[in-house]
Amino acid sequence: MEDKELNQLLKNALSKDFEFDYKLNTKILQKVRENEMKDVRKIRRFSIVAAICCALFCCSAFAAWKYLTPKDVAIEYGDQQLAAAFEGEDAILMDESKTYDEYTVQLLGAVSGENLTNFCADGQAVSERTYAVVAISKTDGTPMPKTSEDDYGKVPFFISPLIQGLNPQQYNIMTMNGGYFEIVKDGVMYRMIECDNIQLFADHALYLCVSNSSFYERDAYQYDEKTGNISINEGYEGMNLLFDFPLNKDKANKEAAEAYLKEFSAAQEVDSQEESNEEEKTEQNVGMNEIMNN
Amino acid sequence: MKVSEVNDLVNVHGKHIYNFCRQLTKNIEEADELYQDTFLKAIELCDRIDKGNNPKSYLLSIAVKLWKNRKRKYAWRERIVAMESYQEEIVYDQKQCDHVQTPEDELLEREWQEIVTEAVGGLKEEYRIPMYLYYTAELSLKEISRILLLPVGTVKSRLHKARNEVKKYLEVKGYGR
Repeated sequence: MEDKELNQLLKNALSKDFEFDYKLNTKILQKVRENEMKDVRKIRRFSIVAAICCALFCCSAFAAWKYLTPKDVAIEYGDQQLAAAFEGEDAILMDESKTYDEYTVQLLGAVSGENLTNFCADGQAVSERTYAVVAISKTDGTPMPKTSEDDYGKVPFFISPLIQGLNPQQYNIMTMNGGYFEIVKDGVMYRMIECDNIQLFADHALYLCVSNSSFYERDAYQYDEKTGNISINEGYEGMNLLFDFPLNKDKANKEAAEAYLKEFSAAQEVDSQEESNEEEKTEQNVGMNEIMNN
Repeated sequence: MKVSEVNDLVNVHGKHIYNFCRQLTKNIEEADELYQDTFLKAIELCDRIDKGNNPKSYLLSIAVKLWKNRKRKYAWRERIVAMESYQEEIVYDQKQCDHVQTPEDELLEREWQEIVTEAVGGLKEEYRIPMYLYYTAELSLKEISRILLLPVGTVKSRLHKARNEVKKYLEVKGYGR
């Protein structure tokens, strides 16, 4: 085969035009418009915020090296398998922070999938899970209370993944078999949360909410039943941070997600049945006590 | 960067960048995402775009960097993909086939193009990316060397090796017999 012939063949094969969705350009331009709007707002507020920004930049520079990695937190938890998972290909390292009042919350990373931990729950190996690590620190640099101090836990933090299209009141860390582990190191509180594997839903928008409450705070966020979008309630007085939680979209699995939702509904039904049975028993006992007292 | 400037950039270079993203990712969704991220990153770094001095080359360098980062971060997919499904999506441009006389010739030409695409797609990334930059994005050796931060000689030798690999592959498949 002649070089010229090969060249021509390569040219013909590799220079083809692919069909192109012009909506892609619209989205890019939309983004630029949004940025322009932000710039206008920024200019207006610049003089007021300049000093604060300087302080925040100093904090950010400090923040870049002061945090433990998700792997370090998993090691503190004593789970080497999970620590290794946070270093694996499926782990997603994040570096996004949001501030509310005196607290700065930094999302450090997440990992989802099978066999991430060798720990057992109820005697059974925990298989499909999502883990995420978040650091919470005081914006002014003062340390968070140590776990041994009385002030520890006085300010509650509710941190939960949320899923677009699923009502957050029903689907949050509490209902999705979640839990957390927490440490305070060098004045920073680290919380590693875990729940059922929500990466199955990664073709939807995923969020991570952080609020100053013990349970999901319905007033802090808004759920749009039409679009399924979740957003913060601007009128809410209190911490109501909402991060994008970008898990790997390639790992979304519609069938598995549907199966999970079915299982979830069935479990909810069983729970509510048990609850109503409990209530009936209590009512009967109250009745018996009244009879006995009389 | 103003909306009108971005609009110009997208209109002039969008098609080339998109074709490159499609060849590189071998997947529509990933290509769409890479394409958008490339422009968004470029807008973020707008000061570095020299509109007089080949922004296409700069955009392609962003696309390559983003792609490499993603591959490292998410291990998106292996180099070898299910080529059959990919090839079905390929739309061939008539004008690319210069010497097509009969439908049989055309069919044969298409088949060999598919085999060439397959051969290039199976190359290691260090050889594959220069091939796409050269044949898909139609950049010069000098521009490729700037994007990949490699000496021109290295780019030349990688292209040479890549062509040889493709040639061998075609010969094994019976080209020219």
